[in-house]
Amino acid sequence: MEALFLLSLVAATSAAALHLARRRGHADRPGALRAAALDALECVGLAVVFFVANLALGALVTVAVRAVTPLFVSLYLSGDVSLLVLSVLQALLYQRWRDPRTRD
Amino acid sequence: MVGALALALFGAVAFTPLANALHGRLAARPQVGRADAIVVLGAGVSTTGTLSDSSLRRAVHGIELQRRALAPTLVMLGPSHWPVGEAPIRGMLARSLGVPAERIRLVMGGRTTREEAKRTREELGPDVRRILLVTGAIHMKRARALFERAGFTVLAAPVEDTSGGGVSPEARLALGLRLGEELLAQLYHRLAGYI
Repeated sequence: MEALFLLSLVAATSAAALHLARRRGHADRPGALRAAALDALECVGLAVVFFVANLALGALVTVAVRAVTPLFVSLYLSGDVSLLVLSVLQALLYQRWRDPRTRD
Repeated sequence: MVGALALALFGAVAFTPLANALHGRLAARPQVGRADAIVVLGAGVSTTGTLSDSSLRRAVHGIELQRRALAPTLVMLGPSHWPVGEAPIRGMLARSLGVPAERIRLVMGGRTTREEAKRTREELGPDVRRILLVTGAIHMKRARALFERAGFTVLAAPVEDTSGGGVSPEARLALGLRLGEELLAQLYHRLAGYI
């Protein structure tokens, strides 16, 4: 029930955004929505790559600190959900930076 | 390709009972019986002295088992963090819920499950063999292996790993993350030769 409710909210706001974009003439180009969806998928993929890289680096640093110093760092530290949000930001920035449309 | 897979995985975990089904397969079943001690593993406390959800669930379950007279000693674990320790707070909770002070043992200093097993063996001595181990249902498999390595015979007394019952998308995601975390931890322990 909760899932259905949440998905309905997202579907409703997406439909409203699409309607607005069409009315303002931002979405006239054929295939624009498909291209945007592919871009979004690419961004999600990049976010996963950054997230896994951050996790792996975190685990490596944790194990190294434990091995060479008397300090204790918990492995769970790298599992903080904010790391996922930061990875998404990294992916967005990286994708925009690579995009030829954003270059001078 | 990675993005599509990630989205599919997100959808499957958050919006289907996949995480619940996996949890059902991996979670330990209770084997509650008489033992020499009830051992409640640590799960975190804030710097202001508030037990984490998981720590509280474990502590209350341990207290309940002790009140059912399943073992003479209730052992509360937790790392010794400044300014407050998890074990002393759980000890106070147990006393306030009617467990006699002489039946409570506090074992501090274990920062990982492996260290907790070692510290418990050191503190309880060789006479305590059979323990009721209280921890999360998914964590139980690894914890049991570590405590058996420390020389204990383990009876599982698992508690829920996450709050929320795992029915909302958020709770299912939390459960999925917890499962992933535990599977990685098990892999690490196997590779390191700890279990």
